[in-house]
Amino acid sequence: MNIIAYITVNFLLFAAWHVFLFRHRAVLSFAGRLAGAFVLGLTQITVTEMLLGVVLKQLYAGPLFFLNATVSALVLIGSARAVNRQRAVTDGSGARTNILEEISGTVAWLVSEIRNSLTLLAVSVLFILSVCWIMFLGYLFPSYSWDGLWYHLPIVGHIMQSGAVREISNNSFIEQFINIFPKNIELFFLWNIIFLQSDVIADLSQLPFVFAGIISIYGLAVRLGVGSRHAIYAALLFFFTPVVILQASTNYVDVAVAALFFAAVNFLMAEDVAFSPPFGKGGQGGLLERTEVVARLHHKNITTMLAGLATGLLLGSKGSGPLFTGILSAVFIVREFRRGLTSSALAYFFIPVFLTGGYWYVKNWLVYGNPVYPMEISFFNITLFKGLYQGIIEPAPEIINNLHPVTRPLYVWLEKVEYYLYDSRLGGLGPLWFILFLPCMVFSIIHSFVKRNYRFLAVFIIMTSAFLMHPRNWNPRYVIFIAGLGALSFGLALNYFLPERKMLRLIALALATYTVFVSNSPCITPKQIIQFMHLPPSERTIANHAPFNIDLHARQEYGHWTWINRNLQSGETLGYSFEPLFLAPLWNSSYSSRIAYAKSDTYNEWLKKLTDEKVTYVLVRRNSGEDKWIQGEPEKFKAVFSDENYRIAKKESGK
Amino acid sequence: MNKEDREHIIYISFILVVLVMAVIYFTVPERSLFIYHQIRWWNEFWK
Repeated sequence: MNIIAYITVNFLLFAAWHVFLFRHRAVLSFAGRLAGAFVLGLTQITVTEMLLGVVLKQLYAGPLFFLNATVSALVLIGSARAVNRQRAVTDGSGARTNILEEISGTVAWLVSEIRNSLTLLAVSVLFILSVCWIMFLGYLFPSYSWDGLWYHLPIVGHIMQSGAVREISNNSFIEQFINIFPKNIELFFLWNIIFLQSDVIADLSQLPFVFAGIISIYGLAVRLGVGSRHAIYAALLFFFTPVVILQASTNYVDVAVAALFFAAVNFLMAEDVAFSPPFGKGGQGGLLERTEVVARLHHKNITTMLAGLATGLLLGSKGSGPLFTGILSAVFIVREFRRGLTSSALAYFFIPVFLTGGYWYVKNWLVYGNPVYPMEISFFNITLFKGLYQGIIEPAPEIINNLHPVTRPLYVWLEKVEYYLYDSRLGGLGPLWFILFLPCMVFSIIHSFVKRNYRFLAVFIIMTSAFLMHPRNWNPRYVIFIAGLGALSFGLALNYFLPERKMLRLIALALATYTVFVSNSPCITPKQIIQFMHLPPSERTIANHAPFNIDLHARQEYGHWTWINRNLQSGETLGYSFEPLFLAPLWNSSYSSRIAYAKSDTYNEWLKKLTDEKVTYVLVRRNSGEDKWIQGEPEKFKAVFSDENYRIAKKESGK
Repeated sequence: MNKEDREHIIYISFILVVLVMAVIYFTVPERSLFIYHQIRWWNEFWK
């Protein structure tokens, strides 16, 4: 039943927005509409969860399902009617026939394009097999990434246990950050847990963003004049970036950020191409029929709005969101100035930006007096917003600190690492980036200058600006988008050289194959894969996994994590009185239990806190003050678990 | 030199640059350990 609800609500969501965008096919290609439907669907998820979580404090599976099903049904019916009316004017056939015909026609075209090129066929097969492997591993293993367990999933847990998006009490270092981080992508993690009542596929939440990124790169490549077959090849190569492959099955947000950035640029460029003089071959833009210009003006708002939504979703996804938003906003304003800035154009872009990403910053401003708290914002030694930190808290590796800022990325791109990891800081862009994409970028820049291909130069300036302005641009996971820029450059290079010269495509295929074979996470070993295949789903836990990245720090935690996973039922509350290594494993795997921090200097006050929070189990450190209180009150607290480090006791109700 | 010859020279030069980049990339000292780890992973996988 849960699976049916999940599939139904997602199908309705995507179908509704795809049909909605079908009317705008004059300015949006099929690929553009797929990316647009993804952005609109993500917007609907974010907005409905914010409405239920921030305003109504009723963010539970039932209300979320009915709200989304209703919105999607209304959009679907309204759009289908509009498409029917539109088609009635032309050939009289119905919306369903046209939309399904287009989908089947596009699939047939795609299959024929792939079958006609052996290298493209090989890359496509490699891509499909890799995605299947990622899905299998994502399904088999629990979320094991450090930040996922530390704050991305606890954000989900806190929202699910209260049914509200609100501040939590600041009892530890990480809880402060749980409060201040923008949470759009965590709301998508929640979407993938709340209906299924399980976190089994939550770690695959970034996979749809990989597809969105590929589609956006394809769309951009086509807009830049790359042939469709080369554009497909180039877009697929974006996937063969080790950090993308590894993050696709983790609860991080970096792939999502890169994909949304590309989607926003794609929609901004869509507008540019539709109206710029070289719309057709030989600059036919000025000769467009008046009716066509009017029709395109009618549709232009949709691409502006989609760009605004993608930018807003990006703004609300990560702390670096304002940087990307600033660049995209500047691009939008420059573009609009060229054709006469109007207030309606500004509204179509900036209102979606604010609606989908602004909340988190306004909330921080109101609560902490600083939109990007706890970062201090200064300008020429004048403090605009007070904060706790003046720079990035996470220290860089020593080798990086010893290098000049210019040579830092070059050092990382050479990948002097022993293995790839989802957040490997000294490697992760892969051999395609260094060996193929870098020369392709140099080639494409020169070629674009010579041929006056200002569209590519514009994309290059946008991406390079983001790269140069990012304070941690040496860290591959923060600048995944440059791999997409490299893929675009590769597409342009392929387009330039004669089709019979296959060497470039063969080199790309060889490097992509190499990347797939060397992008194994040390956190998932073959032995663990076999072990987990033989375990029942309920036992596929982080404690049984004992992944390499956390094992050294977390092995003393496995005992109580296992007990919690096996015994904590829906609605029960686990009280804890210390700063745990990770918060996420303190919830059960469906996040239907609750956690509550309870600490006090006196027993009576502590007991009152436990009672107020309706605590059913208490987790304490062995030999702590709370542990002594528990042992002194065997009638009130019945020990149900203990190991060398922790004890869990059932708090008898009413005592 | 006609257009086709020019393109041919650019193509050969480009492939040479790519090959040089490949040599630089694959000859960093850490690469052998990296590949060793991956071979060990696949050996264990096929057992």
